[in-house]
Amino acid sequence: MFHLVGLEIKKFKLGGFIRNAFLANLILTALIIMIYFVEQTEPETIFSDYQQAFSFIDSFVRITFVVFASVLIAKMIIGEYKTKTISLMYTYPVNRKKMMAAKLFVVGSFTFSAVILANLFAGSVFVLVNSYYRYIPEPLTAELVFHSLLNITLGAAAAACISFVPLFFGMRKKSVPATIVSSLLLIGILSSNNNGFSLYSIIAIPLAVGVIGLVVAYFSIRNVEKEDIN
Amino acid sequence: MTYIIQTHGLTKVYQGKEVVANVSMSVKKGEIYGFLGPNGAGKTTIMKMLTNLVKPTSGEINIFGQKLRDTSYEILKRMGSIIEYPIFYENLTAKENLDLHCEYMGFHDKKALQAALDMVNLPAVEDKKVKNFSLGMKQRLGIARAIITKPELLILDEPINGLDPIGIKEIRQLFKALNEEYGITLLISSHILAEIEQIADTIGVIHSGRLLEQVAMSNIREQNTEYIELYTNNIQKAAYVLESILQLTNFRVAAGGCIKIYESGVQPATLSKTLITHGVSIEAMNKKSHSLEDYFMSLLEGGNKHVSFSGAGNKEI
Repeated sequence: MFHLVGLEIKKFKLGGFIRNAFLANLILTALIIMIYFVEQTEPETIFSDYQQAFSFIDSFVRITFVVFASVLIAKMIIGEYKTKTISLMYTYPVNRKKMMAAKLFVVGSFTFSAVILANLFAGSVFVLVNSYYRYIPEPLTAELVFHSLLNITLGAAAAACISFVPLFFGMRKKSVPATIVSSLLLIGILSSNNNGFSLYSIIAIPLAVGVIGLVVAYFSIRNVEKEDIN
Repeated sequence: MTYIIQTHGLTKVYQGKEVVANVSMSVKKGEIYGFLGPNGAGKTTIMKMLTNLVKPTSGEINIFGQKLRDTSYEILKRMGSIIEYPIFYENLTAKENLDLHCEYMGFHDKKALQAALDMVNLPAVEDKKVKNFSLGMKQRLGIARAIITKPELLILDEPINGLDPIGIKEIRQLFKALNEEYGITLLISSHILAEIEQIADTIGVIHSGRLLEQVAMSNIREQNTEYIELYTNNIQKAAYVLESILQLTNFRVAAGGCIKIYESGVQPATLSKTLITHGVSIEAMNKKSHSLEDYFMSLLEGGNKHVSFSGAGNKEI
């Protein structure tokens, strides 16, 4: 299985993709810090306490990397069908279910770790900057940190599952744009943050969509041995 | 006799249309089997079913003596194939593509990679991206990829597509060498008769999804290999002379004032002399060898009067 994951990474040169993800992480951190300063001129700021700030950062990160994940799906799954390289893959003595599972594993584990790492990075930079400027006066307690880390981890797990949903829209017509646009709409609606409130913060909603994502993933694997490749 | 491939009543239906209908073919171990048929006859679909890419609607496939199932992954290890068109990861180099192939096949002899490239005569392309390759180069690279692991069975769909005449000759020799030296069984499809004729031991003729005939080349060559073609303006009289005076039975009156004489041992000199003394004027007389093309044309016409065997027999490049 890990051999297959390694081959997927090699085949699509995912090193470059990871580098771009890092770049995106830097840019979004810079944007968050910029907003942090600009917001101070407004009477009502989204950064009134740490919890709101972390929730905002989390939404930002999640949107970015779920869309990244859809690009990965477009590359690794939709693209293989579109360029017909899948018919090459399926003439190999490799279990098709395992091969598809390896691809989904790459997508899911990328989303999960990217969301966590980017949250940690952007969050740390934010705390560091705030320790100089003190726009958020409250102290950063251990309890708050723990609570936020838990939220981030659960949110990342849900995001990993949600990132499979665009596969459903993309596979219907083997369309790269459908994959990416559907992911953008989906995660945009779920995560649009209004003063610390988003659909994502009602825990049942990301959970339900996450389950849908898992169902999509399951169905994309289930029939893979029976389908005709034309 | 060991068979590498055997199908029984193989049928594929797409949207209510039979693309492949009741095909029962047998490929013997160690032979070169030529799949012949016009474009759209169902050759590719059959090959896709043999490599498990397309699942039969009904019928059965046995490869290496085992029934091919949805989960027959191990069988694929012993096969090399190019189906429809040589497909590569276009953004990877030739070497990266071959490396990937070896990894997925579970084959770890690094020297074989270079050897395969040499065999198809593709020098110094390892580090070029495949997207910059011409069709002919892709075809060669595809063949290199298929033979790199020295599989027991090679399934090649139109392998000479896009090759120049010299390339075609080289590849033909390569196929023969693979067959003779390594004992590899080859299943090759083509719509070009002359190509199949030169290489195959057995020919399977496919038309409209049906296997019209499966015959050993040696049998075809033995039958009616030579005949004399006689053009005259008085067919009736000529036929009478041939039958009554010369006592020939094996001849046929063809269209356009032409008589084809298949009887062996007939001297053209005697023929012309006798005909002239009986007052039959001869416009032309040729000694011909009965071409495979005629054989297959008659086969196809027997199956379907309105068939056009596109491209067959032409030296297409």
